[in-house]
Amino acid sequence: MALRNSHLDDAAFADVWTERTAAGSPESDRPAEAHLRDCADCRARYSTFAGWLDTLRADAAAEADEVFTADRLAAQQAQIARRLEALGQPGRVIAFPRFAQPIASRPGEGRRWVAAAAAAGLVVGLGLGQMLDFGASSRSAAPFSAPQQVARGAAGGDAVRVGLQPVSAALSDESFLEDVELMPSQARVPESLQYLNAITPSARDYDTR
Amino acid sequence: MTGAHAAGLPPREADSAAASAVKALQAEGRHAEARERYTELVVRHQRRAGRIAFHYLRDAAESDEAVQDAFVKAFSHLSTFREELPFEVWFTRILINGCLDRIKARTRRERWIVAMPDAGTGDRDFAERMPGRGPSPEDQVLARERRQKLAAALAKLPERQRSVFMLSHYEGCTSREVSAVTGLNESTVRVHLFRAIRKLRGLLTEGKGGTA
Repeated sequence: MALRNSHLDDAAFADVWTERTAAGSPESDRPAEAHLRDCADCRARYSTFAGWLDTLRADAAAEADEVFTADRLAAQQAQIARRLEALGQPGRVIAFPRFAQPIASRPGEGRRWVAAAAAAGLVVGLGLGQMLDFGASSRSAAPFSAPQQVARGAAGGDAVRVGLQPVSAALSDESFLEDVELMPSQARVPESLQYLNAITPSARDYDTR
Repeated sequence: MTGAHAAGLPPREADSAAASAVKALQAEGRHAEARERYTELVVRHQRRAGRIAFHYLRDAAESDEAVQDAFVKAFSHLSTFREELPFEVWFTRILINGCLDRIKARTRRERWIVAMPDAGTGDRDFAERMPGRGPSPEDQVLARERRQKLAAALAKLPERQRSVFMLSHYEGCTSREVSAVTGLNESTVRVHLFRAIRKLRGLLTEGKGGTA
């Protein structure tokens, strides 16, 4: 027991208040209780002290009880019961949302075929394109290479290989027109079209020079 | 059913009897009966648990969750419950540990969240704003102010002092019970209690310029 000038201090009051509150009995045989019975001054101080603590306690209880109403307690109880029931059950696995067509089991088979067909088509297309291009270029090599390979000499008119000459020099207007004149005569015309070619007027027929 | 088991026994003994019965039912695999019997304990301690949780957490929803968690945890760990300790003490320890964990988690969260300007107004629940039939609005405002001051003062106490004070003064636990709940010596409990009271008096009478 703590005494202050032969009176009880706050620590002793706290002890007394706690014991009285917990035990539910107003008094006990503790020395502090005996002192309180004998000392009016300490009784008055204790009364103030206990009143303050009682107010705190009542306030705290009232505040909590306002929050935890009867309805709320009932809901809480139901929720606890639900959770206890769920304790005994194995965890529920939530199914992952399914797609209209399962894509996870056979994901790449169809796509692989499409990709392979596209690649094959590309290769075949390139090969055919190369072959056709080669055939066409070999057939038309003579008429279309003439302006580049042949140039007439200004004096003799012999065909002279000029090699790499500047375009402006090799392809003057006059030589170009001459080449155009010569082209139909040099072009290979199939025999089946020879007759038609003969009756069709050519550019030379309209030459005004 | 619940009342029949508790009839004629003091609350502590009734708790122990119920807890032992639930434990035995769980051991026998009779879980439905164990749950039903456990309801008796839930009903008896629910309100008190709510008060304790609310005094720690100061938030109705979070207190609700903390109480639920504590009851579920106590049920699932009832096999570790020793009969020599009152069920109330054992359960309160679970509850308080849960509340302290939540406070820690909240503190960590709040480091990263900027508080709203009106966060401290105290309007936590719709029920608080409902007009009451008892005290006048003025009394209610005064009481609310007083509670807010008390809550603020309690929040300034160190954790141990706060726990000891709340268990002793709010829940009416003896020093021995507080010692069992907190794991502190009885003499340490008394010291913490006195220090808590002294500090609270100082904090609550600061503005008034006198002692309570």
